[in-house]
Parts: sequence; structure tokens; C-alpha cells
Amino acid sequence: MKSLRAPFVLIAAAAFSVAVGAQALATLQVQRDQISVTVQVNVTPAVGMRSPGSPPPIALAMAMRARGSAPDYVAQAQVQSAVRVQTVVSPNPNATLLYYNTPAVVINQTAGTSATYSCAYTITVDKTSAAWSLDDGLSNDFAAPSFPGSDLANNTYVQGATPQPTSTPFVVYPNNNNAWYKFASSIGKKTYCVDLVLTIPSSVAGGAYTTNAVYTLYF
Amino acid sequence: MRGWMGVCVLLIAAVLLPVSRADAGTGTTKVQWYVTGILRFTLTPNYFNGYGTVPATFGSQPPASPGPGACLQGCAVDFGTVLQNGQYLYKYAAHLHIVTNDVSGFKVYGEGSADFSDGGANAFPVTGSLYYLPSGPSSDSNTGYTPSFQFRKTSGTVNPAVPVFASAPAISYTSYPAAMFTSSSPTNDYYQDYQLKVPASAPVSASTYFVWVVYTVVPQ
Repeated sequence: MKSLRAPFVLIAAAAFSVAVGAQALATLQVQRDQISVTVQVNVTPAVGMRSPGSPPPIALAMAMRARGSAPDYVAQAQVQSAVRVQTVVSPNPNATLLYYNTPAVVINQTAGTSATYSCAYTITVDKTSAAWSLDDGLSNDFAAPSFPGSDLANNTYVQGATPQPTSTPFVVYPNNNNAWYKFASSIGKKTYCVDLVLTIPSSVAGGAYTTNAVYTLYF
Repeated sequence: MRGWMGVCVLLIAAVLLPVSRADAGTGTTKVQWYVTGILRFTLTPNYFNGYGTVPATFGSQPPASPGPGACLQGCAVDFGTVLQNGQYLYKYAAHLHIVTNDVSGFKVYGEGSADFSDGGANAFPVTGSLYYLPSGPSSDSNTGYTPSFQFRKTSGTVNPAVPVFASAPAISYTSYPAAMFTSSSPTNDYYQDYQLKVPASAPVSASTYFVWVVYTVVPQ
């Protein structure tokens, strides 16, 4: 019995140090960069649904016009005004740590349908000297008015490799106790293809909705 | 002879007069008028105290800090010095106040007149870099990650074609792009923040990059 005790203590100590070490490594990783890809969805209303602000049905429009005789209206063609937007760009040695191939994705889709958009964008991590981890998630539900961000799923895989067997709904940061989803840990340079799978509930009104797919790099 | 002619004139007038009165009682008169269209549009940059740039972050927000080219209720929307691949919010960027007498309301279009240019050889695209999002007249809880919409580079004809830092261009359209806003009431106010996503590949330049964002208001 005594002869077994010493190896057991050694193994337990080793396991403990591995666990503590891994945890320490995880907690030592700090946020180094964060980027976002804007996802804009232009929703066409499902058949039988009417967009808010869209013209009333023809019979109603005729009744409204007949109620009063509008004066002849001479429209002024248009009025323009402009504002100058300016900035000074300075170098960022970390600009290529984490980047995308496109800052925004625009999807046109009908309410009540589901569709997949292959490699809608790519995300690249380029850090060769340290192990890193990458989190993702949505900044918000789609706005406005709103439909759930979890209706957007992603299938994220190393570019050139086979996609995952299934896609995973994005976590929505404020709905997930302000936490992201850790989807990758690696070392070196990796580019990920992100397939988007969007399911729009049939009750969603026509219009433009946006959110941000946010990527956070730690090492 | 003169007296005879005068009697004749009087007789003719006496015969015609009652007829005229009867016509005045039953005839129709067409009255037609035109109303001159009124369309007033006031664009106010940096419309409220606290305007300026905030780096994109989650959680507590740093104070806004505009660039030197900005001033309260005027001047430019100046993000100041930004980093390549950085992402920023600009609070209280633009207030659009529109008044028209068109009962059908109006539409508002907003586009970049060109790409960002430093006036020399350096440039980066406005599409995908500059965004707008709704703000409030005197309060603003947006962050650099609040959902927003892209400003796109116009496909209209810009005059002058080469961007000039000190003077705003005009855009003429043969067809309008998608509307930024559609108002069904004749008067409306819109408050906007901007967001800037600086491309990682944006060339570093000692000169100031600029783009004119042109708003167009058209009665419906």
C-alpha cells in the first residue's frame, strides 16, 4: 500500500501543475486586437406581408386622394448640402495581427427563408511568435427594429479545408452575459473562411437590418 | 343725328344688361393657382456638446475627442489621428433639419462624393470605411460597435470631379440611390453619428484625408 502512495502523489502533483499551468496560460492571455465585419441584411417581406411605410393598397390610396383636391404642386427639384469628413491616418504596427478581406457584407433575402453564403468573408490572424486564441460573436441583435442575432449562424473553417459538418449560431454579446465564443486556438498565420447561414423569420418586416460580427484576438 | 345715335346706344345697353346679370348667377369660373414648392434643408455638423471621436470598445466608453478641424455646430467632422485597422465612433456628427410644404413628405439620400483622399496620391475607399447610425438630439449611447449603415461612393456625376478640401461638391443624379430616409411628413429631423473603419492598407500620410459627404433632399 505504502509503495503505491508515492507514485499516486507524484501523478496527482503533476496533474495539478498541468491544470494550474494551463489555467495560468489562459488567464495570462490578454486582448490584443478586435475587429468587426458589418453584416447588413436587406429583407424583402414575405408574400402577404407589407413593409412599414410602404404605400397603402390601391383602393385606400384612391379614397384618400378623392377626399380632398390637392393644389397643383410645383416641386423644387432637390436641395443639397455637404459635410467634410476628415482624418489623419497613422501607422499601426499591429494592423496585420487580425484583419478581414471585406469590412462589410450585404445580404438580400426574403423573410421566411433560409440561405447559405459560402465564404462570405475571411478573417486572418497573423501571429507567429505566440499561441493565440480567437473569439467571435455578434455585437447586437439585428436592428432596427429587430430580429434575433442567433438567426445568423456561421461555419468557420481554415480556408481551403473542408467546412465543419454543421454551422453554429453566433452568440450575441449582450445576450450572453457579455461574453464571446472561443472558436479557435492556434499559433502562426491562419485564414478562416466564414460561411454565413441566415434564417429570417417570416414575421420580419421588409427593410434594412444590421449587426457586427466581432472578432477578438488574445495571446 | 347725334341725339338719335345716343338713343340707339342706350336701347342696346338696356337690352343686353339683364342678360348679363342672368349669366353671372349661373356660370362657372375656373380658378387655377400654383403653390411654390418650399424645401429648406439645414445640415449642422457637430450639433451638440460632446461631439467627437471615441475609439470602438465594449464596456465603459472613453470621452469623445474631436480632431482640430471640428467645431461646435459647424466646421468638419474630424476624427483626428486614427490608426490603420482602427475602428471609431464619432458622436453628434450631423443634424439634418428638413422643412417642406409637400404633404407627401420627402426622401433623403446621403453619399460620399469620392473616396478618402489626402489631396495627393494617397487614397482609401469611402465605401466600407465610413458608416452612419441614428443618434439623439442631446443624448447618445452608441459605441463603435453599434449597428450602422455604409456610406457609399456615389455613382452620380460630381462637380468638381477632383475633390477640393475647401469647397463642397455637387452631385447630379440620373437615378437616385437607395434612400437613407423616407419621411411621410413634411417636416423632420434626423440625428446621426458616424463610424470609421480604417482599412489596414490605408496609406499613412502626413496630410489630412478628407471626403465630402453630400446629402440630397427630394420631395416625394
